Order: sequence, then structure tokens, then C-alpha cells
Amino acid sequence: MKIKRRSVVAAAVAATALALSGCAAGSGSEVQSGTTVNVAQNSAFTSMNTLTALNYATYNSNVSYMFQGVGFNYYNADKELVKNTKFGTYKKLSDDPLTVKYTINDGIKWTDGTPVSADDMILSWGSSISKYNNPKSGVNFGSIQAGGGTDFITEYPKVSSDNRSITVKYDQPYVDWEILPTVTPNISAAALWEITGIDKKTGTDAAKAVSAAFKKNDTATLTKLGKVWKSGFDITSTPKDKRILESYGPCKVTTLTKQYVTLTANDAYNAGPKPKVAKITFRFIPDQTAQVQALQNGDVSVLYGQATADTVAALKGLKNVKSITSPSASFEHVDLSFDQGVFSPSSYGGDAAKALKVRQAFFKVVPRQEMLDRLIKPLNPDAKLDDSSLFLPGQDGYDKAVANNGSSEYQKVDVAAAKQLLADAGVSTPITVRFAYANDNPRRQGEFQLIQASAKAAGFDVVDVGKPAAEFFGANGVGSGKYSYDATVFAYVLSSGSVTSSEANTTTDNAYNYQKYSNPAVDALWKKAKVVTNIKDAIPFQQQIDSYLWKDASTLTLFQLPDVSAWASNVQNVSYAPYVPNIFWNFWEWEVAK
Amino acid sequence: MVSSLLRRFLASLAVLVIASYLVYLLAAVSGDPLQDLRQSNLPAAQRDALIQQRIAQLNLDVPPALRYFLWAGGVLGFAVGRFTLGANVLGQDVARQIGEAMGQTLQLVTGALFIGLVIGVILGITTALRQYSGYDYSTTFLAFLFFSLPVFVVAVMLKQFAAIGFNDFLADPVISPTVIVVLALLAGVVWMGILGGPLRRRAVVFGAAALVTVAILGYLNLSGWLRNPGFGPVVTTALSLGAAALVTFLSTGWANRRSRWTAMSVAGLGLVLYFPLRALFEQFAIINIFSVLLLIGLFSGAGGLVGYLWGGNDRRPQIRTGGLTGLLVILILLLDRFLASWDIYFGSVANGRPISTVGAATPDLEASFWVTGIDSFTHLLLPTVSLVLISLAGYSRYSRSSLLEVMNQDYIRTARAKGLNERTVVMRHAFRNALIPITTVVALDFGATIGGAIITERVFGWSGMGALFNEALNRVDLNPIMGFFLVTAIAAIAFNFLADVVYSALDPRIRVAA
Amino acid sequence: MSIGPLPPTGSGAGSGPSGEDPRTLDAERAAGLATDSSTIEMKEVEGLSLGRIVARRFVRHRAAMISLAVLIAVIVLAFSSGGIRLGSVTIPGWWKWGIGDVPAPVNGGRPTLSLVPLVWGEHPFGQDTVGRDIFALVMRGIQQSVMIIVVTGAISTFIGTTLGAIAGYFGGRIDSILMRLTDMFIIVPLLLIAAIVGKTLAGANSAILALFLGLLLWTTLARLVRGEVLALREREFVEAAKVAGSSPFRIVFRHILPNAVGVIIVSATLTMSATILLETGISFLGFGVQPPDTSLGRLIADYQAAFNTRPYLFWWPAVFIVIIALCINFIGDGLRDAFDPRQRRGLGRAARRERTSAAETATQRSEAQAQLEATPAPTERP
Repeated sequence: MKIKRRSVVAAAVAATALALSGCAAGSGSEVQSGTTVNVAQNSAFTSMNTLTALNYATYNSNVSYMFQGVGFNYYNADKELVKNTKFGTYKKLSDDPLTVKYTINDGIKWTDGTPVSADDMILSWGSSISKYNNPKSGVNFGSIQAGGGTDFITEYPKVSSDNRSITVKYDQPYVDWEILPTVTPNISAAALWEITGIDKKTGTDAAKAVSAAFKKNDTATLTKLGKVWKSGFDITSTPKDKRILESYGPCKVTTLTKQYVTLTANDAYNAGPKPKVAKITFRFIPDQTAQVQALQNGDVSVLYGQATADTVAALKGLKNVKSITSPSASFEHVDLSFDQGVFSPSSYGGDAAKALKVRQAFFKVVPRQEMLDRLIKPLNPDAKLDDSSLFLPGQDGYDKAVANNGSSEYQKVDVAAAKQLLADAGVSTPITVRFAYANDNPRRQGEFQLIQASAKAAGFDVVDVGKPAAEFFGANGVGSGKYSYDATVFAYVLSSGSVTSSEANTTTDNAYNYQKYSNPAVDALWKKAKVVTNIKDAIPFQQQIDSYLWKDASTLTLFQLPDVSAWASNVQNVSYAPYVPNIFWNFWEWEVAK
Repeated sequence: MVSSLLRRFLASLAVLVIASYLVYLLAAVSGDPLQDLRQSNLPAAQRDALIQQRIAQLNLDVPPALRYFLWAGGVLGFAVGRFTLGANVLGQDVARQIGEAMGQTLQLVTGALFIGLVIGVILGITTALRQYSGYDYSTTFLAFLFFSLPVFVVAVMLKQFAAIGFNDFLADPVISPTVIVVLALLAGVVWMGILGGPLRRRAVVFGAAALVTVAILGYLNLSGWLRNPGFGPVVTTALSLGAAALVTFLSTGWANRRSRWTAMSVAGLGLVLYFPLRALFEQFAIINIFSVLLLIGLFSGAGGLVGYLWGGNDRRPQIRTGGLTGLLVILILLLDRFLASWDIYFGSVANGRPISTVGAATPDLEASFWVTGIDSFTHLLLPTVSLVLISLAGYSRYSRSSLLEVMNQDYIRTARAKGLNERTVVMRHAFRNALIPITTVVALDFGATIGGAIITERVFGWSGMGALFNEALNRVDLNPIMGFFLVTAIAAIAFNFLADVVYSALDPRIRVAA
Repeated sequence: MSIGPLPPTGSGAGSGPSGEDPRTLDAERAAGLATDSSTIEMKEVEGLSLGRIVARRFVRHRAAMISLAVLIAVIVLAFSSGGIRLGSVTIPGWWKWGIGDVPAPVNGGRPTLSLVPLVWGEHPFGQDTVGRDIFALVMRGIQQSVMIIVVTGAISTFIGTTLGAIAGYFGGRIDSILMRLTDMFIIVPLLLIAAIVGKTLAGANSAILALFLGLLLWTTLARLVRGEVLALREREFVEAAKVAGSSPFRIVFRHILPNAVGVIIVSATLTMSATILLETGISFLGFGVQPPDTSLGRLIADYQAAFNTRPYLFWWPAVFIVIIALCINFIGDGLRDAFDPRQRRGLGRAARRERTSAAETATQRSEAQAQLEATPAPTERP
């Protein structure tokens, strides 16, 4: 009896199993995969619209470079601006007033098939001018570009009849017009209109409705559009509404999770170089040591970031990994205060000449070469001193600037010369120098300690008034006027060869001129440099400004900070460009060897 | 009783409200939410515009002491169906962010908590039974050592040796004779320590353990098992019978004939179904986590049923034996099927480097349940091991003390006195009572689990609760900080309370008072 | 498991304020059990004061004695070599480099220490990228870490003992209020406090960090002491003291607490060993002791990337953290054994008794680490 019962149970279970297997529609293959390059990145991707103030960050722009493509132009590894005529063309029609015509080629389409048109360019223009970025009330697109160069285009651009070109007119000459993203489309006007849901228009009609709203200055509609433009494209996971993912670049975003974003090659792409790999995935790994180990283990194939001695050494030691350390576009510099303390004329009863001698004496004992040798050479044996405040080594105009700017005076520590200058100035030593820096950064800490040790010989008593970075740059930090210091060290980033990017740091009474440096001659030169309409024409002015900065001993550039990039040796054609997007600049050439 | 519960609830609520206010103020003074903008080198007009934008967005113009009420208003909105935890500095909805982060965190730490508990309790019990032996001392030392190592150090070393090193090894998986000898000696020492006894018995245990180790490792080498693992029907049979024997021994003792038969029948059932189940497992369309869980449930239930049928007069031990055996047998069968997909995973997904150092899964993996299962395993392995290592000290020491305390109780003496064998005394009388205090520890730990493992998440590239909180702190982003606080505080208070209740329920000597 | 709220700590001992603390039961049980084994015990310790008994037992605990010696050696080494800085007062140490010195890297910064033949050299532990002497940094790190654990231990012990004793002795409403206060401290995220200290107050003084840690880490001890006091207050000697007219203050501090000193000392040592790991975790996240000063946690967090390339940067601080944490753990163990009246080594199996209660105190150790990581509670060696 019992045995019977048991066999009944067995039979029942077996039957269930068979029944279950009977329901199955058959088996599929176990895996589907293609060529993928995994990239390590320290933060998660947050938005398809990377020009909003909240999402304007490297971790987004690296990704958007892939789904947006290079647009009208891009910087190559040699810091040259390359035009991408496959996407479209632009032409300067006149210098005064500065007028530029942008034309998008026929047949360039968003992923849903809507043509990329003048309407999209109008949206790019409209969303970036201050008029439509009013945080207090009214239309607010929340663009990072508000207040920038696009503000000089106040007049509604002229749209061609084929709806592929627009002509913009600048109210005043603007030297950096060519490198601003100004009118390059970044968000599909059609998708914006559809998602906003003002009416049922779709595709080209919807795109036209957007530009019409700008043309009519229809604030009610623009307010709604602005709201969606600002946050409607923010995503933290793959959105259900595929219109959010609309793009026209070489890749399209296909999956987003908390840990990675996947871009798949866009087969229909015809607006520039096409990628050779099927997928590029950015994996979000905040910890650099973890990134290096992930590369070593094959979990990622490409990584990039700020170099540290150990990361560089660890990467060098890996088999099957190639790595390069390269000078980036950010450079470290020592600034002296002109409004307070021992380097300001006010301390010597307004005797500017006396203050100048003290500043020069201090710069004479800043051990630039030793700092380079100890802090940067271990990362990049080829590193050199940066001898210009306005140009990066290798950039157009750098060599000539260096030849004339007087930087040769500060190549080596010269205690005797420093003492002599102090004696000439008639200042008694020791001179207490309050030195401000972000003290939670080991490199800055090292810089401080080396300066302190070296300057002692000339009679400078360098004291530590450093603060953690959060405070150093905070509300009461270096730029606030509430932080008392005589000298400081931090880094500037030169953005994409822009002429105007250093202007703010050196002109009188500018908020970014933390050291309160002021020289009317420099101010006048900036005025001239800004209004030329070709970057090359600005170079002579910049060289003169550079010379003034050195002669006034206001700022002492040290070196470029090195970036490190590394990739598995089976990924080919990776190279580094100093301007953003750095290592990704030629991602379309990446290939995975079998 | 009800009024005391109510009183405690209200008091806890008050604590929560006051603490949230304090935390809000503290978080507000912890830094400057505009710092990243101040530090940016955008043109001044642009930067000022952005600062204005953020001030408007986060209501920074309202002093924190009042701004708190804007936040609290959103939370209280649940009363009218408009609950919100606000948005973070990027404009993302905090409630949703926390939901996603919690999913990651639970995925990461639940397994570790469970495994740490099981291993910790086993270590605790064995060390308690071999108190002051070499095994006891070395386990203690190792547990303390792991506990003393910072978790990121453990993580770095694990990645270096258990992932990178092991993956390199898998390229040519031959265990060298030296390693085999060392491992064999080690195994001998460990087993000798655990089993103990007089010198002769120790020598026998040592020899046997060392020989078995050599045999297993040698087999692994010769068969290429490490490269292409799998059980096949033979090993599956052996394992199932072994599991049946183990369950019988621990559950009722080997002497119990009915129990023995139950376990053997269940193991037999598994073997009879081996091929039908293998056919079923190939139906990728219906095999997913739910159907597999259902299958585990069904099979364990079937085991219980077998026990019931064998039961005789005292059915409960038989049902227990049958159910547990069923659970183990179906797990062995599933493991066998997972191993069958290893080759595919190893070659086409992992490209020969299966153990991963970051993330929860291979990005964009579209594969069968079995392959994705292996994928989860290879990704969870390292973080789980590192979490388990640092938690071993806690659970093992705790259960050791607890068991030793219980072993000195009068009722244990009574049990021994009436001639019960050591197994019965330990398993039935001591072990169960020793578990009582541990349950409360587990409850409390579970409450704390929600907060995530901040460093582990960071070094293994997970974005759970810990990462969310850390990022929010760095940005001085109040809404996510408060969202995190709310969730973890409620969990802590609730599980704290639950721990009290569970404890008093399990131990009748405790009364719940207010 | 979190940096979030202090995880509920506690001890299976129904740490909850409401449930009667099981410690009570343990103690009662202990009292009952004491009779059957006390005779042998008494002979061993006849005529000795409690202090002598404890000291004698502790001295006999080999692991604890070795740990104590090692710990003292490490502390002496750190403070004598690095010197002592207290505000403006500076007593120089015997080591030639300070943490602010940046001598040029010798031999690529590699350590000059060698054991055969024993060579101390210019930079025994090596130098970092800038050239700072690692030996000096590690010694300063030990000083700071020791300072932090001592300050944190002292503050948390003081608060925990006082509040726990008051709650346990007076009971009722006072107990409820104090226990809810404990809850409040449990749920305030510790990392938040660390961030505030690290970002705004620190740089100045790591003692402030230690102070704040101490202000947060007392909750477990408070519960344990409360439980102990709940049991002790029912004992005859307390009744006697009451009848003799002692004030509640005197009863608590003169009569009850001395009897709970075992729990308190054990708990304090465990908090201390947990603090060193907590400090390490906080430093890893960038909130701990701020440069230019340093701590062991800071060093190990800064140099974790050097794990493969310049292991000496990473291993020296790591080794000292482990040494200190292990020593404190074993000393805590020894103290626990020494204070346990039923602990007798070398007697028969039946006489080897454990006190669950003491295990409960051990929870402490992990508590601090659990703030950062998934670590369940207790550890202690009987």
C-alpha cells in the first residue's frame, strides 16, 4: 500500500514536470552578443540633454559625443579644429556685423526618421540665450549656455526656404563663435514638441511648431517647452518613451541602468565617421583602483582619468594593456594677491615697484623644476614646465609667447637673486607668506611643502592657510574675498582653445580675477582680442597679455596636470586628445581585434 | 498590551520627527550646495544665472530651519495622496532613486548576510564544541584578523587574487603538485582540529582528509574539471545520497530507520527525475526565477510528502527530513544544470575571465536563465565574500558564546544524565536554544541592511543606498540625504522593535513591557 | 549595515528598552549558578581584593599580556619618535624627519630598512611621491589613531555608563525618555556627522572628530549598563544601602557601578577597537582626519592604489592598524576573562562557563564598523 502511494507521488511529480515541459515553446540559443567596448567612467549618465545646467558634466558629454556626433566641427588630437562637412557646413558671411550661415546636409535624420533641420538649430539657439533662461519667472530652459557667447545673437535667425540653413547675426564681434556649440542641434525639436504634448502634431510639423513658438515669442508655449527641455530628457533607466532617446549621431542609447549605459551603432548614420564596433558601454565605477583592476581583469577595456603615480605605475605593469600619460588642458599655477598682504602695493604704502620686487623675489624661489620632477615626472617622464599663462605648450602661439614673456627668469630657483631683489626693495626678512591651497589634495600639499622648504632660504616664511577643497572653493573660499592669503595654488582649465576663456581671470574687477590683479594695458588688449572674428588674429594680443602677466609677476604657471588613459591592447586605434572629449575624440576608429 | 504598543509607536514617531529635524539642520550646515557652481569656470553671468537657478530649484533662499517644513510637507503629503521626497540637485525624483538604490542594496547584501550567518553559526558551534582547542584559537585569530582589516583592503586583495589571479589560472588550470601538497596538509590540519579526539583518531582524520584532498585535486587536474565543470548523473547521485545521509544524521540521527528511508527515497526520486528535469530545464521560454522557485517549492513539498508517507506514528521528524532532503536534492540538480552552461558562459560571455571585479552583471547580457544565473554568481562572488569575511567574527563569536552558555544549563545536564547521545543533546536541546538570542541580532542586522554597505558598494561599482547617501553628502544635497535618513531610520526603529518582540516571543521568560 | 543610522546594536539582549533586558535574566541565572561552583573559586582567590584578583587573572592571560606589551611598545615608538605636539607646546621626537619635511626621494622612495644585515637607513619605510618620510607619517598616524580611539572610548564610556545607569536605576518615565534618546542617537547617520566634521570643522583638529564619534558611539554601552543595573538594583546590598540612607547618586556610583565595571571596561575596549576601523572607513570616503595631518586610516585610504606598485606605502599603515586592532581585541578578551568571576582556566569542562552577557557586550565592537559595513554584531573571546 505504502509503496503504491509513493509511486503515485513520483508519478505525479514526473507528470507535472512533463506537463511543464510540454508548455514550452521550444528552446532558443543561450547567448547573443557582438563586439563591445566597455569603458570605465566614474559617474552615471544622467540626461540625453547634456546642455542643461544640471547635467552639463564630463560624464554626460562623453556619452553625448557618441550619440550626437561631432556636429559641424571637432578638435583632433593635434588641437586642430576639423570641419565635418558630412554633417553640414558653416560660412562667415560678414565680419561686421558678424554673420554666419549654418547649413545641414540633406538626408541627415533623427533616429525616428524626421530630418534634422533648421527648426532644431533654432531650438539650440533659443534654448541657450539669456532671454529664455530666466530662473525667476517665465521661460526657463535652464541651459548651461545662458549668459555665454550665444547671447550676442538676439535677433531671430533667418531660416532658408528649404528649412536646412539658418543665418545668425551677432550684435557685436565675438572671437570664439566657431567653437561654441551655438546652433548645433542637440535635442530633436519634434520630440520636444511631442513629449510636451501641446497638440497632436508629430514629426516635421511638430518641429516647425517649435521654431514658430520662438519666432512669435509665444511665452506660454515656450514656458512649457522650456520645462520639458530642462528636465524631460533626464533619465536614470531606459525610458519607456523612446522619443526621449531621439538622436542623430553615430550611436544611439539603447540601455541605461544604475551601473552602465549602452550605446549601439546607428546603422543609418550618414553625418560623419561611423563607428566600427557594434556597442560601446560605459560602466560606472567611482573608484580608480577598482577601475584599474577592472581593466586588468577584462571587465572594462578603456579607462581615462586624472593620473596619480600609482595608477600610472600599476597600468604600466599590466600585460596586454596600453597606457599613456598626457598633459591635459588644465594647468597648475601660483597666484599672488594684489589686494592684501605682503605682495600687494598697499602693504608698502602704495609703492607698486617695491611690491613687484617682493613678488619677483618670491617667484625666484618657487622650485618649479623640482615640483615638476617630483610630482609630475613620475607620472609622465616627458612632462615639461608650462611657461605661458594663456597658451598650452604645443598650441599655436605658445612658442613665440614663451620666447618673449620673460618666463626664462623663473626656470631655476635663484636664492641669491631673490635676496638681492628683497634687499633692493628694502624689505626686512623674514616675510610671512600665507599660502592657500586645497589641502586635501596630496599633490597640492606636496607643492605647498616644496615651496615652503625652498622659499625659506630667501627669507620667506611660508605658512599654511590651506583648507579642504570643499571650503577652498566654497562660499568663503578663494574667490569670495573673505579668505585671507598672500599666495595660492590651483588649476585652470583652458576650454577648447577658446580665446576668451582666460579673460575673466586677468581683467580688472572681474569676479574670476581672484587675486585682484589689475593692469589697464591688459584690459585694453583683451578688448581688442575679443572682437576679432578669427581665433588666429587674437594670438598676438594674447601674447602681449601673457608678457604683462609675467612682467607683473602676478601668476606663475607650473605645469599641465597629466591625464592617464589606458586600454586593453585588443582595442585598437585609441588615442588621446588634450581637449574634451579627450580619449573619445576618435571613438569611431576604435576596433576590437579578435 | 495594545496601549503599550501604541505608546511605544508614538514615542518612536516623536523620536523620528525630532531626529529628522536635527538631521536636516546638520545636513544643511555640512557644506555649500552651490560649491560645484562656484568652482566652475563658466563666464560670470552664466555662473550667476546657474546659481540663481539652483537657489530657486532647491529653495535655498529659505533658511534650513524653515525649509525643513517644505520637505516635511512633501512627506506628509501621503495623507492626501501627494507623497513626495522631493528631487535631488539633478532634478531626479528622490523616492524613485531610493527605490532603485534599495533594490541594488538588497541584491548585494542579502545573500552575504545569509551566508555570513550560516557560516558564522557553524563556526561558532564547532568552536564552542572544541573550546580552547587549536582549532578554536586559530578560528578566533582569523576571525579577528578579517575583522581588523579595512573592507577596501579586503576588496583590493580579493580582486587581485580571487578574480585576476584565479582568472589567469583558469587560462591553464593545472594545480601544481606543491599546491596540492600544501592544500592537503592544510585540509588535514583543519579537519583534525574540527573533529578532535585522541591522538590516534587525530592521526587517522589527518591522513584521511589529506588523502581525500589529494584525490579530489588530482581528479580536478586530470579531468580538466576546473575548465569544464559539471556533475553528470554519477556525481549527482553521489551528492544526493550524501545530502540524504547528512540530513538524516543531523535531523533525527542515523539510527532512525524511517528517517533513513525517507531521505533515501527523496534522493531516489531526484535521480528518477534527473532526465525529465534536464529536459524541462532546456525550455528557456518558461524557465525563469519564478518557475525555478516554484520547482524548488514543489520538490521540497514532494520530499515532505514522502516523509509523511513513511512517517508512521511520529510523522513530523520524517516530514522535516524529507522536506530538507528534497530541498538539497533539487538544489544539487539545479547546480548540475547551471554547471552545464558554464562552458558557454566561460567562452562567449566572459571571454575566459569568469570572475568579475565590478558591477552586478555583464552589461546588456541577453541569455538564458542559466547563463544569467552564472553571471550573477560571478559578479556577486567577490563583494559577498568580502562582506562575509568581515561579518564572520560577529556571528561566530556570538553563537559560540551563546552555545557555551546554553551547554552549561541544567536542562542540558539533565538531558545528558538521562543518556541522550551527544548529537541529540547538541542539535535538539542546545542548538535551538542558543539560536534564540541570535535571531534578534539577525533582525537588527536586517534592519541596518537597508542602509547599504557604503564602501563595498563603492569599490565594487554598485549604486545602492550607501552610494546614494555618500554622493548626496558630497553634494550637500538635502532631499536624498533626508530620503535616505527616513528609510533607514524607520527600518532601524521597526526592526529594533521587532527584535524585542521576536525575542520575547521565542523566550517565554521575557515579557514585553512598555 | 550602513552608514546610516547607527544600527541597532545590540545584543540579543533585547536591547530594547521595553522588553525586560535578558541580561537581567542572565545575571539572575548567574547568581543562582554561582553557588555550585563558588567553593573552588573561593580558595583560589581567598584574601585578595577584587582589584588584585582581576590583575592576577589578567596577568595570567597570555594573549592579553602579549597584546598589551605590543600595544605599549607601538605607542611608545610612535610618541617617542614623532614627538608630541599639544597646541603650541612641541616636544621633539628622536626621529629626524617630521611629516612636513620633503627630503628629495632617495633610491626612488623605496624603503631603506633591511633585516639582514639590520640596516635602519635614511627612510626605513620609504618615501611617498613628494618625498615625505613614510616612517614619520606612520608614526604620526599611530599617534592620531591612538588619540582618536582613546578620546572616543573615554567619551562614549562616560556618557554610556552615566545614562545607562540612570535609566536602569530609576526606571519608569526616566528610563523611557533616555531609551528614546538612545534611539535618536542610533538613527542619526554617523557619516553625516563625520562629513560635517571633515568638511567644516576639521583640518583644525582631529580631536574634534574623536569627540563627535564619542558623542555617537555610547548607545550600546548605555543599553548594556542599563541591563546590568536593572539586575543589580534588586540585590541585597542595594537594599542595604537604601536602608542606610544613601542618596540614589551614591548608590548608583558607589555601589552598583563598581559591580558592572567588567561590562563597562570590556565594552569600552571593544568600542575602541571598532573606532580605529571606523576612522579608516571615514577616511576612505574623504571625511576623516584632514591633511596635512594624517592618521593610519587616512594613509591606508590614500595609498590603497599603491597596493601593487609601491606596497610599502600601503602595508605599513595596514600592518599597524591590524596590530592595534588585534591587540585591543585580545586585551578586551583578557579583561573580560579577568572580570568574570566564574572564569577559571584549567578546571574541568563543566566549570568552564561562559557568560552570554559578556558576549552581548561584544556587540559593541562591530557596532562601529557596522556603521560602514554589513557586519553583524558581537565578537569576544571567552
